[in-house]
Amino acid sequence: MREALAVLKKEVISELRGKHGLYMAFLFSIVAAFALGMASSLERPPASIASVLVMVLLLFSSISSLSRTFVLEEEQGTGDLLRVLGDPVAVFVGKMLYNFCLLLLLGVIAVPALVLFSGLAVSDPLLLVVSLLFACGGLAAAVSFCGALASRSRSRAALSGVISTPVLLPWVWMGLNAFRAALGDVAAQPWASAVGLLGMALVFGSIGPMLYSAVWRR
Amino acid sequence: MRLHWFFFVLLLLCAIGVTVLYALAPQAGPAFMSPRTAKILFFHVPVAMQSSLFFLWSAVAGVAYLVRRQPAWDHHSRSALEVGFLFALLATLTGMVFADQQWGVAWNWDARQQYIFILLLIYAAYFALRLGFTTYEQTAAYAAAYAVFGFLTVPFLVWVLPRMQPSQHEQANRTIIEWQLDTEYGRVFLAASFTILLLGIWCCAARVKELRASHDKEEDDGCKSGSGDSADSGVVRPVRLRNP
Amino acid sequence: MICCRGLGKRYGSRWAVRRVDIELPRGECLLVTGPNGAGKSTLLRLLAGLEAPTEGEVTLSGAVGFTSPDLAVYPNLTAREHLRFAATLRRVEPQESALLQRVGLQEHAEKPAGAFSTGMRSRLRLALAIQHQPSVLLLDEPTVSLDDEGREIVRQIIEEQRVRGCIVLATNADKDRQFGDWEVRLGA
Repeated sequence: MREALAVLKKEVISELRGKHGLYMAFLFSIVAAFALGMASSLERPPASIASVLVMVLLLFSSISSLSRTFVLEEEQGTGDLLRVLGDPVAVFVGKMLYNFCLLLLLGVIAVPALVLFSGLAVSDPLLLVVSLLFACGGLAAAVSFCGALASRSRSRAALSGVISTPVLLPWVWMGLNAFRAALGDVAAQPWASAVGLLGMALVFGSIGPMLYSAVWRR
Repeated sequence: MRLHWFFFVLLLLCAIGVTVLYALAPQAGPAFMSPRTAKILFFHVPVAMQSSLFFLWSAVAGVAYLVRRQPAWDHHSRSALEVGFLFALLATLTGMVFADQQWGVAWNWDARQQYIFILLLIYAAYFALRLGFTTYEQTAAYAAAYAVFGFLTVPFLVWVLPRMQPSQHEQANRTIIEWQLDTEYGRVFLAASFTILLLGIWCCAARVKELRASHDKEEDDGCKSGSGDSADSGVVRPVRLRNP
Repeated sequence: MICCRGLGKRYGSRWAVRRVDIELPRGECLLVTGPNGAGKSTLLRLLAGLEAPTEGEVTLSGAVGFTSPDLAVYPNLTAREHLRFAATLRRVEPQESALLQRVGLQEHAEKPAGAFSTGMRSRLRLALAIQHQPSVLLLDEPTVSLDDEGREIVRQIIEEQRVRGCIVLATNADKDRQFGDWEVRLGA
């Protein structure tokens, strides 16, 4: 666990000093929130549409910024350095934690921004926060693994998009269901959906490191 | 070799059996718009159910490859995934034909329709992944990992999510799981399932054989191209520069 | 101990390395020589476990230290942070001050590696490679882009590590074959 935290710390220091990666991620989220708000500016969107906006926002924020953590290592040539140091599980878990923190941060900024821009009414704030938390966990786990798989291939950026988007789709429905209830619509078993998000996050988050250690020196 | 023929004959007999039974099968249920359309379910349900089975085998072989690193497991994983993909595609298409006859729209965003399409997308990405690497070992390892990872979504997409929202499959699912089919109808259904399973295994085995042959050929080519420039030098060993 | 038998790596239809047998006891130094493209770097990467062999196998006992001009460092981390990070992942004491002193980077400990010259990066990589007292040290072109002082440091480090019982494999380390008891010539 100490090793994973060291990887997380390295990512945070590196990204904070590098600045442009983080800045682009934030800018993208704000732009996306604004664009979605603008698209729905003519009339206040009903909860069923609003939940789609929230989910799309998270989906694109994660795909655009999260696969970077693994892809960047290979692009700047430090992937071999990590492999020489050993411990794939620590590397994967550390990067997954970093992705989770980053996505949560983006979500915490972009989702309220979207709520503000589109004038959404939050009827169940607790459900919104909990499903945001779990959705970020699930997205981070899945995108981390897809980014890791794609990072060693020849067309890293394109491939990570191609493989992570379909894998993320199962989350979309659960997220939609939970967010819809949080934004005031009637939805079947919204808390079950939120727990489903957590379940998928746990499954992918625990299998990911194992699979990653099986391929990482290839 | 003898086993191979036995298998082929069995498959042929099953195919004939299904055709006969299919022709004789009673037209089930008043729920169907046109009674004849009910027959497509003899194909639609088995391929849909068995695609998960092949995806499972693909994931199991993927784990075996990651542990053992033997190309044979990669061939199994890949061919099972291809057959599973084909079955899922056939399930989608036959489902669309049926939906068109039954409800007048081929695509109606039914829960299962959505999720099998997501499944198709997830597994379609596998083929993109296989094209991206330079060496065979890398391709096989990453593909195996993805086959396992992709399968993690199958239980959610096949069992969990479709049950969480209303679906036109509910009735049919219950009928099959609780086995409330008419005797005649059920018999044809079983025969068709068995034949399709055999067909799938046969396709899978043939594909494994083909993959092995092309893998062996590449190995041979590699050995030949290698022998051209370094066989004369034989084994490379260190030589002592000075005596200690 | 290091031992590899019938080691080979193929990219597509081209063999980068083929039929290499190496067996060395503790404290020996092996020079890997050969023209460009002979597979020297590939051989070292195979031994370091960074590539999977197409045929043959590698047996190593103990930890491996590896350095290569292709091994990049993090542009936004300082030299000291690199060594601390590496130590945590390797579960060893960082000893960053002693190591930086050893490779002559003590003055630049707090500078980000992105601001380093090529030679300074080589020194940092060297410090990373010997940090965990490896029993096999794989040096791919360790002296490239180093000044006289740097080359002398490499020579001393190789000697120190050998005295400790470490096996050293180096490519193009020493054109005059001053140290090194063995040579393996690739692509001949």
